[in-house]
Amino acid sequence: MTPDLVLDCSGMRCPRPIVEMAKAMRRMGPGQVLELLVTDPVAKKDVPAWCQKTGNEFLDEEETSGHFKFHVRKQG
Amino acid sequence: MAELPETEPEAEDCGDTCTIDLSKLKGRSPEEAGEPSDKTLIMLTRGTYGHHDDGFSAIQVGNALLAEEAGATLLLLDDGVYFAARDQDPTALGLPNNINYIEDFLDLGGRILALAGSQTRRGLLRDDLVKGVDIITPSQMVREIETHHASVTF
Repeated sequence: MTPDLVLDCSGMRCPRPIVEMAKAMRRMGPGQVLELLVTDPVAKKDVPAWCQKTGNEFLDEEETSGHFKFHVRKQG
Repeated sequence: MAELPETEPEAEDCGDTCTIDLSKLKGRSPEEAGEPSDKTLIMLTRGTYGHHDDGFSAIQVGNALLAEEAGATLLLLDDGVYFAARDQDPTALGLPNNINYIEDFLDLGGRILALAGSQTRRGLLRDDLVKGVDIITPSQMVREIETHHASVTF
């Protein structure tokens, strides 16, 4: 998957990655995909919950040695 | 019985000693209290940095609310007004600068209000505070309390 925007929030602790994601999403267009990189494991719960709350589409997540990658599509 | 003044008191006359009759607010019907909203009022009454982490916690709660597209207003009272000081720099304390979180809060559509009396009693001028902070009177503060559906105090 080729994201439209990559947001690296590695080293940030929640809720900061969620805040940064919310800010980034405001600059994106409907249907565009954001790739979010984080290290705080709390994001595993927070990102899907944020998507559910805001109506954006949670696409997938990957975990590699404590690094998490999420893809989220902005609602149309 | 003395008659109540018809005009609003000057902000400088109220300050930290201003009291709100909460029993009247609690007794009001939803219609009297105005339109229901999903906005949360976060009240910060203490200073920041050093041994106080309340300001940091307050702004984190606010940013979490705004990130989830819920409304949030930060109301600074008493020593809480120091939270919005424009040129704050806690580098020497080894703490993160709250300015970044304040900018996030404003970027996400949050409102920051400072009670005029608390500001002036601490010798703070309008320009001493972060741009975007609105100075309000006690009467305006009451209206803000009325139009938020929940409040959290730090």
